[in-house]
Amino acid sequence: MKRIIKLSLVAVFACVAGYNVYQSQKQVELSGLMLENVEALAGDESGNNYEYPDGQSMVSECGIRVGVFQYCKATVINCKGGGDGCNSRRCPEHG
Amino acid sequence: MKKMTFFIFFLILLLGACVDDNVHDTQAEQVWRLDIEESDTLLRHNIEFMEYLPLESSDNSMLFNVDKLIFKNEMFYLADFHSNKIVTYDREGSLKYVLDKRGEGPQEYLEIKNFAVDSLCLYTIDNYKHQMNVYNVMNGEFEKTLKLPFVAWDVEILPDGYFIFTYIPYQTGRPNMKQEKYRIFITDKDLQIKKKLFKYSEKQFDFISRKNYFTLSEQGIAFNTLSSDDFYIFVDKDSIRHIKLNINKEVPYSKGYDFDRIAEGGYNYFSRTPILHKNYLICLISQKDLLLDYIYNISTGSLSRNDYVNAYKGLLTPLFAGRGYLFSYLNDYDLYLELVEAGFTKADEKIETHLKNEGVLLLMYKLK
Repeated sequence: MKRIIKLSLVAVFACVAGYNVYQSQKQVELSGLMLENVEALAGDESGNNYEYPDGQSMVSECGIRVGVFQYCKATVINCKGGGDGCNSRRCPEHG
Repeated sequence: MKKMTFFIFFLILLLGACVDDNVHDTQAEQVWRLDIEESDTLLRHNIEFMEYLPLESSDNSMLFNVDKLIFKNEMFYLADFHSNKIVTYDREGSLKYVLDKRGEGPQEYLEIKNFAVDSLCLYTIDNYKHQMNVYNVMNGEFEKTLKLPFVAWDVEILPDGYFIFTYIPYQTGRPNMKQEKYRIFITDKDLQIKKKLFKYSEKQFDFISRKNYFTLSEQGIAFNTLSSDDFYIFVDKDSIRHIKLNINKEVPYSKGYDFDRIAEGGYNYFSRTPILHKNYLICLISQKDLLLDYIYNISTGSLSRNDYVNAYKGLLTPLFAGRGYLFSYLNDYDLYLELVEAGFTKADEKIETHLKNEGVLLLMYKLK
């Protein structure tokens, strides 16, 4: 019985240690990414860094005028209330 | 005993079906086929004339854009959902009042997601606070706040006085209120739900959003989403017309594609809910990389778009139809110059100066 308890403790210890190593590696990766692309990370699944924590992403189209009666499509993200997290993105200016 | 059990079970099923009037699966009365490939560039032939209406400017009447326009009670209501602001004018274009009370305090709101107007009040949706604010329609004075029982993206008032709300599911989020999975909620003026329509499942969502899902017309309130080719006209709470809108290379709605797959596939779809006006359907169609305005003649089945070379009687994307007119908004002097150069109707000098000095214009189109 004692042997089983000992083995179980070792297994639990190994799992916790392994998980911590994995987490630290993941954080290093995330830090690198963060430097590269802050905007992309702003919308990650953690939900901790939303501009609008109660916002709902409304991905819609806006027209960028490219000629008389001609509008080129671009997507824009408006954050409106009633959702579970959102980061906005404006319509690019034409020119 | 077995027979009895079966009978009771059957009765329960039957009762359930009777109580659940939520399922609304009607046969389309008509199919309107919009053949983009066969469309012509003679849109101007449908337009009798166009007039300019300059709107008075003031320090707080500036809008980023106009997302919704209503003409009712002899007044224009212009909403900018980005600035969370509504600016109102009389029919001559004189400024009446501005609704611009964003804040955390009493009688203030965190957003204007959408709004509706009847003969007495102006109603705004605030999904951050989960409430509807009610204002005097003539002077904009705050009257009361009502608790919204769901998250909603658009609201209108049916001809019989009931509110009609819509919530459309997107891939990019979930409502932060517990609400039943219906796209339409019809309520009374106290926001008590009277009817729910167009159920959706967890896996169903629109691949892109719209600012508005309802458009007003002389025939009722039109409703359309990006989850199907169904076009509904709510004549009142219990009377709904159902029409199918077919366009070339239509989105394969049943496959539940996301936006990337729709874009990669180059599918065509209605970027905004079409406006029903007289015998026409006015549409903004997303076509490859472009957004293009079309007029569909319901009687003849012909489809027309603007002429890029000849801008005479050209149509700038309309926002509202009513009182026999289509209304568009113009706040860009450079665009105006470009249009005039291509043959668009020239405004008089006073109106041109108004636009040049960052004033805004309404364009009123009379269709034949």
